[in-house]
Amino acid sequence: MTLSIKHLGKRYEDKVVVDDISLTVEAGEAFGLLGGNGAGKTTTIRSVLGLLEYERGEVLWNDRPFLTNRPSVGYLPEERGLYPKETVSEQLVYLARLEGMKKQAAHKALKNWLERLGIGEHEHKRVEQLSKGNQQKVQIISALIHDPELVILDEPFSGLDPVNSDMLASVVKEQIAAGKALVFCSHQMMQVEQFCENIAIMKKGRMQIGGKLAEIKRSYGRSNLVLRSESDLTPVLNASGFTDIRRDAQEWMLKVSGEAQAHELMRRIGEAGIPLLKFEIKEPTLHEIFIEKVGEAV
Amino acid sequence: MRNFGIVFGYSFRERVRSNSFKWMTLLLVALIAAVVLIPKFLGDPALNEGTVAVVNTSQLEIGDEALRTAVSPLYEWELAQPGDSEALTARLQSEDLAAIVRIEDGTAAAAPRITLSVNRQEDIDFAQNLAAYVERLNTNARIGALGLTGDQAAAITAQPDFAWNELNGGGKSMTETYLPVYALIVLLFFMIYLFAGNVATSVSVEKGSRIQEILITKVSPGQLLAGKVAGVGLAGMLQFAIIFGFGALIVNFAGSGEGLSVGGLSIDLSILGGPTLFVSAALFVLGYFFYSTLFAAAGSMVSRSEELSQASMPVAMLLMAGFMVAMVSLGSPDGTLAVISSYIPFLTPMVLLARVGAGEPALMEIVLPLVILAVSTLVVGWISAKIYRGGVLLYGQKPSVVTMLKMLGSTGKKASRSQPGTSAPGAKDAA
Repeated sequence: MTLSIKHLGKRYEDKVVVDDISLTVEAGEAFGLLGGNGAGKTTTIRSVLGLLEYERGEVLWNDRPFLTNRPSVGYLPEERGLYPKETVSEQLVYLARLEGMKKQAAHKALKNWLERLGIGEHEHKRVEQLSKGNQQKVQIISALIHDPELVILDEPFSGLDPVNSDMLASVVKEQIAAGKALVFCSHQMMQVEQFCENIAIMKKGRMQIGGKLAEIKRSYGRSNLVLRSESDLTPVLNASGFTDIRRDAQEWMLKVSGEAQAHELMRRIGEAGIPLLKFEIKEPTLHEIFIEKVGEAV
Repeated sequence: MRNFGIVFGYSFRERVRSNSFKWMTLLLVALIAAVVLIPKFLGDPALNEGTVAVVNTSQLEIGDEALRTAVSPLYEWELAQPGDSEALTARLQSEDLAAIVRIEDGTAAAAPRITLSVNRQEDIDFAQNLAAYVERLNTNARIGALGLTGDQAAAITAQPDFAWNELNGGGKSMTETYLPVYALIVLLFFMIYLFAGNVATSVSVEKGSRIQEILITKVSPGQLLAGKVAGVGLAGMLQFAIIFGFGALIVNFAGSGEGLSVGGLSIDLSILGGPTLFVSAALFVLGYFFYSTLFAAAGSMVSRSEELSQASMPVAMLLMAGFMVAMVSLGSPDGTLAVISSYIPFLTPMVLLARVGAGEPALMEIVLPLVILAVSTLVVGWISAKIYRGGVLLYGQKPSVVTMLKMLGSTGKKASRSQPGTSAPGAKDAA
């Protein structure tokens, strides 16, 4: 099971909102689609699902046109949508049945999911009576209840507290392990790093960078140096010409051009007679890559 | 088709379970019960216009029961003595009495004198009947005094033999049909407006709560729209059946008999006959589908349900125009305006009903407008589905004529479903 987007292009009036986007999502993997606000992520997803028409490119599922060979899709849109005045069970069974589930099977799956996410007691409550976090869980169930082949989650963690975030993280991992193809849009880089093997970073409709996350990081080189000492390292670092230093309790973080520069610095610290508790050369974080590519804070 | 059934069932249940459905049904049932039952229990207070005191000093024999039957059943008739005059005047001034009637003997050759005291002349409407009644009593008394034979007396008092000569015999009488057809048109107007309006509300709620974006990844907009229109429509018919079923039951139970009487106006639908009711049913179904798809398109153009009334105004105006033309057509159901406008689809539902109910249209004049309406309903349904599909994803934008035209011009989901081939130029360039 593979979702392929090839050279997708979409414009509104004269404005190009998605420009030549290509990516592939395999079964059993999560693909991280990243980008700032207005980067074109949601437009890309809506185009894939046939909610929007696009002018260029194609979307394929198992190498055949997506919409004529549509897999079952679990979609969690960025703008949440539920019937506020209907009960949880009423609308989730309805949505599941629209994806081809039998009524009884839908009720059974619903019970399991409600228990799994710890909101079993809310089955017969109206959605508007639930807290925001619980509404979010209902929304997540609406995307997963029918056991879809392709799962598209747009900012699934927004509105969840840390406990529920962890619960959802384990659900996402289960989905990946169950062989689903998963597209994951998020601003939370930690979550993306946790789940996604492949990523694409979009800016103004274009893909800035894309591919295997590990390779992308490797291509950036090991550029972060972390030092830990009980003595003050700042004078030595300044004397060695480092100005962009971040200090955090007993740790100093700085950028190096490569491993050679890092080892040279270690030698100088040794000459100064300062004992080091930690010396670590790290790859850049996804957060740093994102900031560099998108050029704005998230 | 399976999804149509699911959407249909869900829309139906959602509508029937909604508070507005329950309250509206209860309210109307209670209203019908009140209109039918309260006059029963209170002895028809609506039919009592007040009390009239009658002071009779003439030779004529006048009884209160005779006054009730011969002059007006709407008043209580109270016989009073001449000596009560001042007290009666006081009661009249305090509106305790509607009128005081004094009947005195005239001179030997003259008729009796009637003095009618009222606060305002327009308060009473029995003056003519009263005069005719007293005149009749007087005539009978005078004939009696002449000592004529029975035949002679009968010859003098004989009434003219009055016969109607209806040139359009067997045709529809305006006085007979006007009220029932009027009632039917009003009913049709409100049913279409309410039920189709419910579709617009339902669409705007889905749009406002943004569940639409999830729904149209699962169901095609056409099926979604059709399921919703049919489901809400069936719920409307159920509501109608409950209200009128209960109405019929209570009218029977209360023994009102032949027809429903509201405020003294009797509405007897049986006078319309089977064909009219059959055409009404067809017009309701077609009119409902025609307008509900239009209302759905309007509902899909708004971002929040608060904006709905503004967006659905043009559709409501079309419906209202049909109602107006139908009202005018009632006076002249076979006139040019009625005939021509009955062929214009958005006017057809109500104007054709006016024509069929009050006029004498030929069979083709009924069938053709119905066919045109049916075909237009399909076309409007197709257009509405397009607008609906485009509109449901349009948030925060004011719907303009240009956007709507663009939606109509769009190739639709079908085209995008086969996009590898059709969108090939771009794809090939890029590839």
